[in-house]
Amino acid sequence: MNFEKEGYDLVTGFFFALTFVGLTLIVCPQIVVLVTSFNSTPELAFPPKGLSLNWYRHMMEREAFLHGMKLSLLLATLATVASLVIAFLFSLAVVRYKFFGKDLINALILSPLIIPEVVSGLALLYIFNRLQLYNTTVNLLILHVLLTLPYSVRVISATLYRFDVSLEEAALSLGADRLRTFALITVPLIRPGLISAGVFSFVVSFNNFTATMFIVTRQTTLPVEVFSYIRTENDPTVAAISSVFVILTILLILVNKKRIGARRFVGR
Amino acid sequence: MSEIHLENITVAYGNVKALDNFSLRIKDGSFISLLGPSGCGKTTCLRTVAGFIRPDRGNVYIDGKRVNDLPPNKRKIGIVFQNYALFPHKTVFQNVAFGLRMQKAEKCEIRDRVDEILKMLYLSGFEGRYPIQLSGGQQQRVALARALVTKPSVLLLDEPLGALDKKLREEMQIELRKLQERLGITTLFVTHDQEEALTMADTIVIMNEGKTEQLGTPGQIYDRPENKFVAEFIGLSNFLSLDITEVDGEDMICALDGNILRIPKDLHRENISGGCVDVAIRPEKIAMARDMKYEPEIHCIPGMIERIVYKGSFTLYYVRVAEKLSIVVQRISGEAECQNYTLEDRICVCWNKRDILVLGP
Repeated sequence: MNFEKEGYDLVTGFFFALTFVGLTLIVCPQIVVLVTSFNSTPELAFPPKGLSLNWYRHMMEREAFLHGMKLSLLLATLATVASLVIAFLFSLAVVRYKFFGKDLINALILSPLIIPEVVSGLALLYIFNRLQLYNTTVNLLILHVLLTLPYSVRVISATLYRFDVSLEEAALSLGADRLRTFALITVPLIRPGLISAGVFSFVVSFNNFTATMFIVTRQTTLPVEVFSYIRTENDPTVAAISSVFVILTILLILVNKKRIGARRFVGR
Repeated sequence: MSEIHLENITVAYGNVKALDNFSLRIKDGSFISLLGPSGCGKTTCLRTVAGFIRPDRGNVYIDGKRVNDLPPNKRKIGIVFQNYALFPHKTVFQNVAFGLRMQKAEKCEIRDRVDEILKMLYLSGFEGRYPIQLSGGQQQRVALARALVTKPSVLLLDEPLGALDKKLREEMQIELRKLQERLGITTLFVTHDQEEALTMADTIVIMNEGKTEQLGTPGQIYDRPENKFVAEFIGLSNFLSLDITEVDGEDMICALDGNILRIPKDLHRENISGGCVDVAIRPEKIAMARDMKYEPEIHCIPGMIERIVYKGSFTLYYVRVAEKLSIVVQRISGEAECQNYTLEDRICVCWNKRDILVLGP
């Protein structure tokens, strides 16, 4: 008994150490970036030589960044909404119904997870050119919806698999029509899944670089803008932008964790 | 109130017919129980009445109106699901009020009617709780309240007591039946628990493979099962396969390992002249005696007690009467005449010949 307990502690300790090392490797660089962004001299130095908010001001003053930010936010928002709607309808079909080619379509929708983004980007670029579609925003939106779909489909279908259909049947038997059953029973109960999927999609779209790189023209997204900036400049402005990215992402994940209102009926 | 009529319903899933040309008439205010093993079609039948399943063939009538094309939300039904299907994000009050809200009832009317039904089901004071904060029995009563508050014309119960423990289940059987009688609501009850069906229903439909095996009162089903399936499904039985050696004016004369049994011909539904016949005899209809009895009304077979199983209020005796045949006898525990029987005693098992259940050839 004692021996077993010691062995258990050893294994636990090992995994704890592994987790700690992993987290440190992920978190430390971000802290370095965050601290560097407050440097007062125009170089990427750690530890910083004096503190300032210069680079944040510089970031805000540079028009290209602001435009990039606007496009990125717009794209992320539209892609998230589109991705949620498509993923919800698709998941509903996959979870509730049997139809021909279901597995194939499912695999296709999830394929952007496996296919290198370089390939996806290049393929879409080729298709857009062949079809003579030159509206950058629309093209980017199509790309981002494709890239976010695997995430939202996975999260939403997992939620729907757990959803008890007899709840909808109960509502129907009590006189609610399909629409009201959907609005009053289905949506409130899968809301945590919808929020999760939304946050995933937003983050994936907002941070995407590789595939986006192929589609952008004069109008670019923030990550692409940052990339072109560091090719010519080497000051802490990029650190400032990265810090904004990191903090925004963390905030979104925290929102997801809260899933306001969900805990009320999940546990006591 | 309401009458339900199912007419030649067929529902198929691929090659499997869940209901096979199934017909049933449920009289206004009656309590019908569909009883059968899993996969016999009883739940399909309930879901067809509810409107969740559209039959491939046949018609569903509620109050004489054909409702095949009516969606569930227009059928005025109340359903209690096996897992209760309470809305987890709504309180007890909101759950029960849901149906009334869908009918666009006035706020104060909703309050009054919810209060009334909650009181009737001993749930006053629980209005603000969420389903997860209730016990299984309370959840079950909330589900019942939610189904009844809209005053539906039909109440459908899909094994609603299955998740409760034995004692609570037996209490709820009585409570539910009392409530049903008070409201006079036509009720269709699906169960695989024969005791539940016998306790609650005024008519039992025994189902198997999408068809009716037998329809009758609990008494008819238990005392006069029409075939082997019903006799096997309800209660405990001793099954005997007998060769008919001769048929005279009144009796079929049958042989069972050297014993001659005279079985009244009128117990058989068909006029039979020979061959073999399957019969059953209930363990509680059998008595034991030290000596053979030679009375014309009594069948008596010698044997040896090979096992005694004490079951509390009653005791089972397994009596070997032939190499391949042992007969179960059920007697009240502590009964005077049985007290001196012990293992390996040579005794006789006896029963009145009119207690034989003839199940057909």
